[in-house]
Amino acid sequence: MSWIVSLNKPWLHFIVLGAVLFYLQSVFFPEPKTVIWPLSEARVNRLQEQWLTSTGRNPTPTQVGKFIAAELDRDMLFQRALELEFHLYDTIVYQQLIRNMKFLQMAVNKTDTELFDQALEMRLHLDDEVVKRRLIQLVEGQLLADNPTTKPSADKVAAAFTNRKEELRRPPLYTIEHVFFNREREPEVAAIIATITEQKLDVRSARQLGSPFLQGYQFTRKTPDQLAQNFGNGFVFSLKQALNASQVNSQQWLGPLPSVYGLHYVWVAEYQPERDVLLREVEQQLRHDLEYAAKNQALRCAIAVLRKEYDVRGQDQNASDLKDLDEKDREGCQ
Amino acid sequence: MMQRNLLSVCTLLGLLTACGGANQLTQEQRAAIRQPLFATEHTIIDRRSGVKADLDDAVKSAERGPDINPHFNPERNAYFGDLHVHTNYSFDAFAFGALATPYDAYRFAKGEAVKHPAGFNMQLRESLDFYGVTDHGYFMGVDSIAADTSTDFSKYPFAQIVHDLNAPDNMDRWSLLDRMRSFGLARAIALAIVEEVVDPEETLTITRSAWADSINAADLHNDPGRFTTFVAYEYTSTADDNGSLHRNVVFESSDRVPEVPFSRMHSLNVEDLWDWMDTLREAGVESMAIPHNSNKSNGQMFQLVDWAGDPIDDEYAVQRIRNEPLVEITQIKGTSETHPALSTRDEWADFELVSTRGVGMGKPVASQPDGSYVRQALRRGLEMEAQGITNPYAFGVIGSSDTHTGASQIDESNFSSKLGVLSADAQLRGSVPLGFVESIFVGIIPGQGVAEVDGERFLGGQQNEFGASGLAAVWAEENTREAIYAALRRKETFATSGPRIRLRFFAGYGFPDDLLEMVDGVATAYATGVTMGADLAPNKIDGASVPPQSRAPQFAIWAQADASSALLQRLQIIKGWIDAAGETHEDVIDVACAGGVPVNPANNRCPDNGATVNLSDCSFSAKTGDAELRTVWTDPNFDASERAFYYARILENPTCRWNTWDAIKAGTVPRSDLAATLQERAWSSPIHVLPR
Repeated sequence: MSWIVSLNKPWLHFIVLGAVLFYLQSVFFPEPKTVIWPLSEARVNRLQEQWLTSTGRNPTPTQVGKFIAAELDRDMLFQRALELEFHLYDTIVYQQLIRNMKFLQMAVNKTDTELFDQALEMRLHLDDEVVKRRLIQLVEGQLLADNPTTKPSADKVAAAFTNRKEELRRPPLYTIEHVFFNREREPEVAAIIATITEQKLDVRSARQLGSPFLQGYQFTRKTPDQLAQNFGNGFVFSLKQALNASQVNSQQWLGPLPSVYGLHYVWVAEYQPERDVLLREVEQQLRHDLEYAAKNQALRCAIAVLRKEYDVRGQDQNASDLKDLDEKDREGCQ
Repeated sequence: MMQRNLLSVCTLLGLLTACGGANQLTQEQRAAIRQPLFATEHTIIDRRSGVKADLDDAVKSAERGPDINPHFNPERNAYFGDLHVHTNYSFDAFAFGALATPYDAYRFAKGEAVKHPAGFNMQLRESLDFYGVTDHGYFMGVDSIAADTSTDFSKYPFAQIVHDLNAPDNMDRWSLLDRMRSFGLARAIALAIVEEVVDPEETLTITRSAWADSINAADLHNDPGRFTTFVAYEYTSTADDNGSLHRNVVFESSDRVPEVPFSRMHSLNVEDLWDWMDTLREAGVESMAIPHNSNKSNGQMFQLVDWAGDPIDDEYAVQRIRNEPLVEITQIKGTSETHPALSTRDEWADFELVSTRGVGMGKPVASQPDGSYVRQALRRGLEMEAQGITNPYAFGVIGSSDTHTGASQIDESNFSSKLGVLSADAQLRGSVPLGFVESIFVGIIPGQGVAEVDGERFLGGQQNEFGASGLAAVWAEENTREAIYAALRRKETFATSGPRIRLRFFAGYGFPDDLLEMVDGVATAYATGVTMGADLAPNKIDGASVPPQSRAPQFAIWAQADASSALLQRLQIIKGWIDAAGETHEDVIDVACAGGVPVNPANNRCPDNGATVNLSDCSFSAKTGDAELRTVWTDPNFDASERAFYYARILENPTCRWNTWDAIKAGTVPRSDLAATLQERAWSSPIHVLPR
């Protein structure tokens, strides 16, 4: 029992009791979090003005909530940088503060180091946008380094391909030839078409019966947009309608179809409907987009986690980036 | 943010007053940075292995077979493009807030939407067929590296003026002062090189990387048969008086390209550029230089003397025309066809003129017309030929935009000019009145005066004169680099002020009168005549028995309207010739009028066709005018002993100019001192008729 006797020491009781009280204090009376204060009304107005300038319309309440949230996040990252004392060791900040001191004509007979120290004493680093941006950049860099992203897996690429299939679809392709009739020859069109039909003229022979067309007569594997550049949107609309109305896709005459230039009797040599794109055609693009999105999301997650360490006031939680992340992403953030 | 803006204002005011030119260079410094600071290099990168091979493999591996356009048209198709495009690799575009990379620029040309620096989307109504990113060769890519505060280069004191310049929260109009100050970075770097603070190799390393990336972007987006890209850059020389002597250098291929673009830092003397191009050409690297903004050259672009001030000799002329077969006749910063002071009998000579010289953000200074315009240069070329010197100005024409946002600005109804953040909205473009505070603010900025018009205050300055122009067009067999470059080389090109007007122009002897009524008329014209950009040899038919008119050349001209723009109003021939006394002359002749109306033989003009524009909504009559104009024309005053050039010009009916569109959208009254409408147009490359 000698070990029990050895516990009966006042100094030991003092230490154990102190540890328990310290723990209880941290549980029931935690250290207050650093407060990120709400944006001033002037700052919010300024953000709204910027939005109006760049988009030409006033922001909706949701949009206002989002950019206030983003601005508060910037304030938080800036605060973090200050706590980590990044401002004391960065060359850009150093140069910027010295420049400000020189502008304020306070550089007489002082070394750069003295100027820098004085700028810090005057708290100039808290009120300079370049310094703020630089420090935020450093914190973001650190967050990304702590949360590295990996190259997208083949599965992810395949999933993105499936999800974006509709967006990546290839447009239809038309291969057409035409007999053109300018405005003066419009009265002859019906008779000429009858001749072409009765005599079963091939396209080359039929062309001789029409008017000359500056852009030529054969248009191979053209998308609707490309055809519109040649003939105008009205022609493309008519061509689509005529093709829909017919039972066959190719090797047929359609028209006459109107354009801004006149009438066109169109031989559809080939029509290839719009089609799904092949993975091989877009894999590089998908990988690039996924890598970019992953990096962006890693940063958003890291900021969301960081937010818990601060008392961010005036931020609409519904508008914050965290809201945008789905459940899986939230797990990723943890 | 507000404090920073106030600091910016204070800084500027300080510069303007107390410091009074702390940013100004001394005469000695100015002279020093005009000396060659970089040694000329001829190192060629062979990209047929390495990066290009990888890209080729990637392209081949994609299943492109089904989509390739196999169509090869021996009668040639019209392809439209832009060969003057700046992205964020250009120091000035970066200062304007350009976010677009060369990759973004090519995506835009293919029809995708890209972001304007101010945040809105820019998208073409119709995609283009070819595109060349032409970032400034000097200090290419350096600004963005200087602005990125994580780089070593950004730590130079002179780099501070661009730190985080294009950060997302610094893209509004209040960043204007920062942007104007940042324009001085290139000069500051040059000075730092002179003073041996910066090793030239440091900037060249950045430029090599940016240039390689620009080439990579071109190759990635080059899509034979559908979309063509060109490896290109801008050589940005200026004369001592700040006259523009700018050229875009376009390479035929990306297989073998120089490691570093030859820039003004290598030499301001364009003859040195041609030497460099010639040396590369001998090594199998073909390229051409395309001068632009001759209108802003203050008479320096088309002089009769060389860089040293000696009269142009044959050696100079041969080298110039070998390297510069084309000239850019129109772009945002004005049209360089001709000027009312030079072409007093051309009622349409005042089209989209910009009156100031050079570039930069300082106070605008006038550019003298004499020696600055294309038509006069064509005439000067005739004079030199008459003196037995090769014609250095026998060039073809293209248009392009010179956008500094990566996105062509060719649509009057959707124009955001070229200066990025500095021209992001109608107030900054000078088409909508400024508020009182803004007008005070703007009034203190050099070169950005406030104009009082109709009791309202508008932003004045150069931007008011800028135009939504232009496009380069070629006639080529297919949409590939090889075919389009060959068309540029043979000058089978035309320029438009924005709309996709198509223009055919042939010359020959013995064309049938109904040539253009024939379904195979174009094939016949190619087979028996010459096309735009070519020389027409003297007629072999001779002898007193043949009437003079039978010996005269015929010109077949055929224009087709843009399906999305206004109808055509008149087709014109511009003729220039030199008489026996050595005097040159010019004439403007209407040769076809809309509605089949005959030309008035008394003045060679079409009667007014009565086309009008409703300035309240920019609508116009779709029934006045023709979708096509064509004719076979013979010059009634042809003299076989005289050397002459002929080019075609086609005019649309009037439509709203961009400033009117801006005012309508803003609900304000259009500014009365700016033209409310304009007549969009196209110009063919000239055909030179050689004397007997």
